[in-house]
Amino acid sequence: MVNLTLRWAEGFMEEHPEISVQVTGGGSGTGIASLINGTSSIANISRELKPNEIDYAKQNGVNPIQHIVALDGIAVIVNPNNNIDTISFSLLKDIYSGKIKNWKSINGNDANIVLYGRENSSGTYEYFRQSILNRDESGRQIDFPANMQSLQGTASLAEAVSKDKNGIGFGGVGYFALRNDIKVVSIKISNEANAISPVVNNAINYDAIRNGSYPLSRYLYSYTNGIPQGNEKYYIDFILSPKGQQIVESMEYIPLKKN
Amino acid sequence: MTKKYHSFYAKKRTFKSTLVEKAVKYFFFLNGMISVLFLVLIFLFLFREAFSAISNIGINEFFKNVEWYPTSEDSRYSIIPLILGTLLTAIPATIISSFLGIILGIYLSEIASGRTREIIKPFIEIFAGLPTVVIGFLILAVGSTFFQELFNAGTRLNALLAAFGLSIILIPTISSLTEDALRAVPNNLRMASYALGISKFAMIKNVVIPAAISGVSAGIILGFGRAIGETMIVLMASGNAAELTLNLLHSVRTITATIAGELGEVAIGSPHYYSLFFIGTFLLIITFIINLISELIIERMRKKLKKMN
Repeated sequence: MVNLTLRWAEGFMEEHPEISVQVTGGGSGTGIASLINGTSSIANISRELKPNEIDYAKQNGVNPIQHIVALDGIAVIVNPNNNIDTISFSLLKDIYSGKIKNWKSINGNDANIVLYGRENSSGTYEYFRQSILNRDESGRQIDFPANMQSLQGTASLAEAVSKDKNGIGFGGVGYFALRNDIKVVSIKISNEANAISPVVNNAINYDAIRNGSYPLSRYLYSYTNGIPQGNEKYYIDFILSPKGQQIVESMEYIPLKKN
Repeated sequence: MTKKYHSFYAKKRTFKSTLVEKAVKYFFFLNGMISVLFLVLIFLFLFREAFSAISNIGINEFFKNVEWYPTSEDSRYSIIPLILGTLLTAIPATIISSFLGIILGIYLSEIASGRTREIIKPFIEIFAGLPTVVIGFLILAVGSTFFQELFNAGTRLNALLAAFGLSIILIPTISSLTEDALRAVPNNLRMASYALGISKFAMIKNVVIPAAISGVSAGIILGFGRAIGETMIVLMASGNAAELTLNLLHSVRTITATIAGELGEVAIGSPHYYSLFFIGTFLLIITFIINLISELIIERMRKKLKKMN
């Protein structure tokens, strides 16, 4: 999300040359920490704040206010040599909970499935665990299997799957849309439902993600300390303006409204 | 020139010059103390955060089960798969690089002519200075596919691949410490063995290496310490799956890679955050002990060789 933030800052400073914006990356935790200790005015993060983070902020006299600023589609990818094109939600759950271990079980090649994922503190990891793995019958949260490899970013995950013919991975759709060395899989909510792909002809399927017919998407957030005023308000307004949302689209994320 | 020195030494000590001398002395002392102070502060900070982990999570949690799921609802903080992952990368790396590093060290100290050594040494020094991220990148981009085909590995990124990457940085460490240890062996031992008419190789094998063996082993231990503390290469090449395995061709997750990978996005003040400081402190203590052992061994060898001289 740091690249999107950088482009927002550039666009904002073109409109408001009198205001200077500095952007620092480092992950959601870094953003929240800097909002809480007052070194930044706005924290852009790809997940909602957790209850203990909100508590921690309030203890330090910071009142984090959430702003929804963009949408991100989460795509599932495999190697182009894999003959699987479509996966249903329940199969995806079986694969990523470690129940299905061989591609043969879902009519693929006879080879072990190699799971790729993200670091356990990343927003994408959290999102995928909640929306795909969710809970078992007794209400216990299901975890990814211990042999899932964790990569440091969606770009390196795409790179790994492009070189591993038995690999499967997930991440923000923007990282995958233009690549031909990986295959974006269509997703079915149930066995009867239509399979929907988040990428059609190397272009992001904006409508399907926005209207929810493609089921894996999440919001991206900006957090401010209290109701934004002055410069912070101008900045949030800019992000939500048509121009700000155009930047969202140009960075391969999904604008909140159709342009 | 000489005259100038004369006049300098002849100059009488004035009050001012003693003052300057004192000031310089304290300035240097202060500089030394600052580094000690920083070290103490780092230790204090780490131990404080690690202690929060113990009071928040409990020390049993780190050794009780065998799973590392710090962000799960049912969070599990076992350090055991991480220790196993660290050993699975560091031990093979130490074995590979000890073998190559000791041979290289013997060659440089005993066999190579002065000229060859002059050529080879700078290259080894450059090797030692290679940024680990560059090695990690090379291993990831080129080495991973090559080794996957070579070993027919199911997982492309695995412990053995990381070990190969690590051995690249360990070889210079071990070879130069081996060379130092061998050179510290007094020359009269070599001369005495030649006088007895044995060949050069027999001399190296039976006289020089036994005399320097503790120095060589200190080099290996120091190399091992470096291997368990190395981050970038294992982060990029090991695949980072906290699996409980002894298979070198599986992905593993080391202590260092866990800290580097998770600290950026962890929720500050959460048990997960403190647990990362705990495993960091654990690693610090282990590497401290390892370095201490190798220092003690080197010190002992120096004393022994001094007696021989």
